[in-house]
Amino acid sequence: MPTVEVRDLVKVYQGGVRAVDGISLSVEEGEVFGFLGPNGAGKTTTVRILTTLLSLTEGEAYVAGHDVTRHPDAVRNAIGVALQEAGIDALQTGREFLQLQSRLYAIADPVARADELLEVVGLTDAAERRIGSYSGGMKRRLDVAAALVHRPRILFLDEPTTGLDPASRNQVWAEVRRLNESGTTIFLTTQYLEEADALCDRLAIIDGGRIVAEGTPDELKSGIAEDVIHVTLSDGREDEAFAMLDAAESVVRVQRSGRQLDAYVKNGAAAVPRFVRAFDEAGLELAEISLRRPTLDDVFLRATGHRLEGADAAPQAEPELAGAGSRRRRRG
Amino acid sequence: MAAVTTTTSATAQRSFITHELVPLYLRNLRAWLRVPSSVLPPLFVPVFFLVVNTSALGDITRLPVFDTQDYVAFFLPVSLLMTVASAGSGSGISLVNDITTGYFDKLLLAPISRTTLLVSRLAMDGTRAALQALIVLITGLLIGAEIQTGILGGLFLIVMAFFFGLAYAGISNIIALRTGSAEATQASFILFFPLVFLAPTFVPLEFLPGWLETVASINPITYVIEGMRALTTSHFDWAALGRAWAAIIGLGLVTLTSAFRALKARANQ
Repeated sequence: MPTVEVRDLVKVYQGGVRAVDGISLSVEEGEVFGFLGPNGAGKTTTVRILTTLLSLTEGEAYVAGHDVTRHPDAVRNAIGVALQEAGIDALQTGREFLQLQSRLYAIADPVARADELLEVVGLTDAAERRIGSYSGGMKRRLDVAAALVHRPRILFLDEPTTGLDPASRNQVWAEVRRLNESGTTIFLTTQYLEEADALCDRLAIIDGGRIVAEGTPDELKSGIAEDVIHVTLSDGREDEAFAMLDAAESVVRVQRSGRQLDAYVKNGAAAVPRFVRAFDEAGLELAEISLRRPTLDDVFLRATGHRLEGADAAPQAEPELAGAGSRRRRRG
Repeated sequence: MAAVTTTTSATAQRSFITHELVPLYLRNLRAWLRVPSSVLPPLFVPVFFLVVNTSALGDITRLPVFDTQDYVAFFLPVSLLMTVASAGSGSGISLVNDITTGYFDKLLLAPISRTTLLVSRLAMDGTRAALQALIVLITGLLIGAEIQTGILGGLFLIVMAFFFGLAYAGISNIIALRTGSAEATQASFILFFPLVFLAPTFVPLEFLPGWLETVASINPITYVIEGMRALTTSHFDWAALGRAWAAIIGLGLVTLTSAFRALKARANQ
């Protein structure tokens, strides 16, 4: 039986907002499963339902084999949760916070358990300081530690790296991988394409309360047949370039983001030299032209008709990735 | 990591007292004591009133309607209730803070009883009310009040402050749980004015003008003040104390039932 099983889940808030509109998914034991989508897509609502914080309107949801509606206590004992707002208490010290958390879960030796977890997330030196003085990254790590006191089989992480600088984000990623290797199933949500790509075994793209695509990152990307040719001009004549690309027979569509143009092309390798010649003949000055395979952003665009909003706010983690920089620029 | 963690993550037999109530109570107590601004202002206003009012109005007790000459002792119960009420408002505000930071969600995610979340908070509110009342009481003694019923009467006052503190804290907790809004919860302090000032605050009930006497006679605080006032200015008047306890328990039943209902609503959104 899957670790998380959701069937036709619907959540309608008071006032009629349909935040989740018929979601079905299943997460296998030992997986890192990702929920990728923009703000307001229904990610957090789904996580709150699965973690027993929110009631569901329709459908069924099972976590660790327990019905979230009928046996919330059994679910709570099986899961660890780190929500988007690191739910921590500014006035306590890191050590007090973890000791209290361990007591609430009836851990036999809460003092030792707190010390262990401080060590695991590298906060031993800050243990005596009040949490209010911690950096965003430290708070997030402490929050993850708090979710682990009872060694849960399943860990829910709601946007674990939103707002973190790249170094802190890499630490959280490393922690997620380590936990997964030690056997913990991970259900995470993210609005960052790189994060979904880097961490998830499988992911679902969610938009407007519905799952619009699902699969491994590679499956999703190979679902797009075209290559992407990325063009930047040095003379500011993007309008002309856009019109030219748009008119080309091999081009399926052109996406403009500020001064950057992305053309989705069949057989990109053959198209590049043609484009270079055509630009040259038209007197357009190329600053850059490059060919890349589709990314999850392209998958998202294809599935939803729009780009992942807010993705441009992602911290730049691995700048050596081709096209990573341009992908995040805002549309013009 | 796995090898180390398994050694100490064994769970113990769960106990409501040691795994829920006491740790959360202590956490609330720490949170209160670590914010100086939540400790001092609730004491300042009542002590200010006690000192200034009693200096300005001290001679009022010569009027025949007073059966005591000790205006500090006469006014002391009002100051006690003021400090307790401000402690009660603070309770809701720290709850809103937990809701806003997400810490409340973390507590809801723990496999603990929902009731503990409120009980541990109310226990702290009562403690806080009793401690603040003790400080105000000592201030009153220092500026010359004499408690007619002695040390036992003083103890009675503190116990009444504790329970009135619980009942009053219910109000701000209801608003905190229903709205999750700091502004709305802060505004609950406004309730304090009609409750404390539409009462025999400065003079005995009989001395209030007609309409005010009518309003005051249906205000539960009136009976709490009169019961406490019997302790400070005359004797163990069991009839007055009975009415005071009836008012505290009545208020408490209404506010705490609603608060627990609000908690349930928030926990089962």
